[in-house]
Amino acid sequence: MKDIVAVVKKEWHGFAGSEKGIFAIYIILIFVWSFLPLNNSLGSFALSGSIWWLFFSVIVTGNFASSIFVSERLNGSMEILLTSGLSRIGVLAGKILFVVIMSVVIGILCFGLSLCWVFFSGHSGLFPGQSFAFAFLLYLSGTFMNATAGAWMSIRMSSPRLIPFVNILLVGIVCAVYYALSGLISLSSWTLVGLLCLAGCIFCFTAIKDFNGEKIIAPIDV
Amino acid sequence: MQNSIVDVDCVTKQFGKNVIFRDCSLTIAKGTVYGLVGLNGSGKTTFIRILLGLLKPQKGIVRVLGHDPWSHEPSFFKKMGVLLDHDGFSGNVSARDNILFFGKAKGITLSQIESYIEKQWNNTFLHSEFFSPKKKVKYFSRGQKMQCAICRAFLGEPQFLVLDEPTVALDVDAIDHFYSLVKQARDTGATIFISSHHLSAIEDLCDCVGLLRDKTIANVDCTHNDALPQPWFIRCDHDDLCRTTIQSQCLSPVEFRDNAWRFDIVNPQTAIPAIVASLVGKGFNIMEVAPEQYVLKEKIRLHNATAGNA
Repeated sequence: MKDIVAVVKKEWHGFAGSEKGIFAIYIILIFVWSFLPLNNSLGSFALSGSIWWLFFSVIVTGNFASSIFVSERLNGSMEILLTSGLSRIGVLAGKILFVVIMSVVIGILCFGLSLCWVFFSGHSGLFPGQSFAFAFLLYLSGTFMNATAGAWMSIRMSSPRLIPFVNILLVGIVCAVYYALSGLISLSSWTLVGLLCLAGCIFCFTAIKDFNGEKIIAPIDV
Repeated sequence: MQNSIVDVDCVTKQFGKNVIFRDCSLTIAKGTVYGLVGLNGSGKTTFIRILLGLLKPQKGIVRVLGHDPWSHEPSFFKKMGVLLDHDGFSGNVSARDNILFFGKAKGITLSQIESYIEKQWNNTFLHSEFFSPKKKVKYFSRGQKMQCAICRAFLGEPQFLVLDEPTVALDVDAIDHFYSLVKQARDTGATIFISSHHLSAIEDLCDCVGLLRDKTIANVDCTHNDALPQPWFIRCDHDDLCRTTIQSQCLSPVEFRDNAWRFDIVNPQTAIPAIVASLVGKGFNIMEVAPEQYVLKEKIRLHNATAGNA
């Protein structure tokens, strides 16, 4: 646990020391994305507000995963971290936890802003047919899956900069599986949350396995 | 056996069909400064990665400080100091925060870290950057980053240090400081493994030298034996009488190269003063007399030639 906290703190210091432009981009992203549920409630292009939140998690988590997992492999400093005296599982779990925490914080800010827009616009229903809690849980489960998938793909992929794109594909696959199954049998919306969590656990297991192997220091493409 | 820090026994490592080592063995005794040299691509970094448990050999046994490095035990790494080709620091934070992170990862307290910096890094840029940080590591020069990495490697008095190209990008003062750190660590019983292309550094610091060649490590004899010819040079007038004067004292051919007479000589303690006295007696001006600095280089060449002939 001590190792996990140390890695989370390290990643936080690294992120907090970033150039101001990075924070500006996140603020703009939160601001723009917060209007989507409003569009949905007005009956515009957003067919299902919850799914949009899921894809928001792809953007945020994929981006964090790309910088947290990939940058150290690109510049070779992962080897130093692995020989620093921290346990490997601590390093991996700390990195995943940091990505999840940051994604959740950004998600909460975005959800909060969305609620403000809905409140000021006078629309009572934020997500037609689905609860706010469900949308947030979907976002969380998507974040978990994207973080663990990012950790695993950063080791397995020779071009890990493509992680955000593969995350979109994975979320698309899980959603497609859910819709295909729900066409055959009657499924609750919560099944999608369950599928995302299941996929997240599988990716977590594979990431732990590969993090203890040689591939963690294999050369990768920029 | 108990006295050895590194025991590598018949290790074979290959990537696909590309064999890097075959039945390679090495033992490093406690308190030794061991230097590993080899051509580019000979597998020095791969060997270091095996010692650090970053790569697993296909065959053979590796024991470092009594541990199997591949078990990735944190307690093993806490006894180690590591310097690799990348500094490994987070560029967005100060040198202080970086060093504190790695210190705490090894279980070293803040006061111990501060005491180490105060004692070992006084009068260096790192001392002021640690106690009053002014800039992030990403704004440091390459040499400054390397000094920070050396500082991290020696932090906590590690029992075994693995240093890959430690003198790259260092200025003269920093190299002197690095030498003093290595010597102090050795005096306190630490074992040090240095891989470098800077043969002068290897020669100055190392008690034993290994040459990575033909998929194995061969020990290079670095003992100074006065009975064997040693290369020397004398910087004086370019005159044939000089050549014959020197030649009369040594058996090897004498050649004039890079503004100096160069030759191999047995028992230089007595032969060199005799040559100098003779040259001065004949009225020549002597600017410099010294042993060649490339003894190791010559030994490696000799080793390569012998291995090639075999």
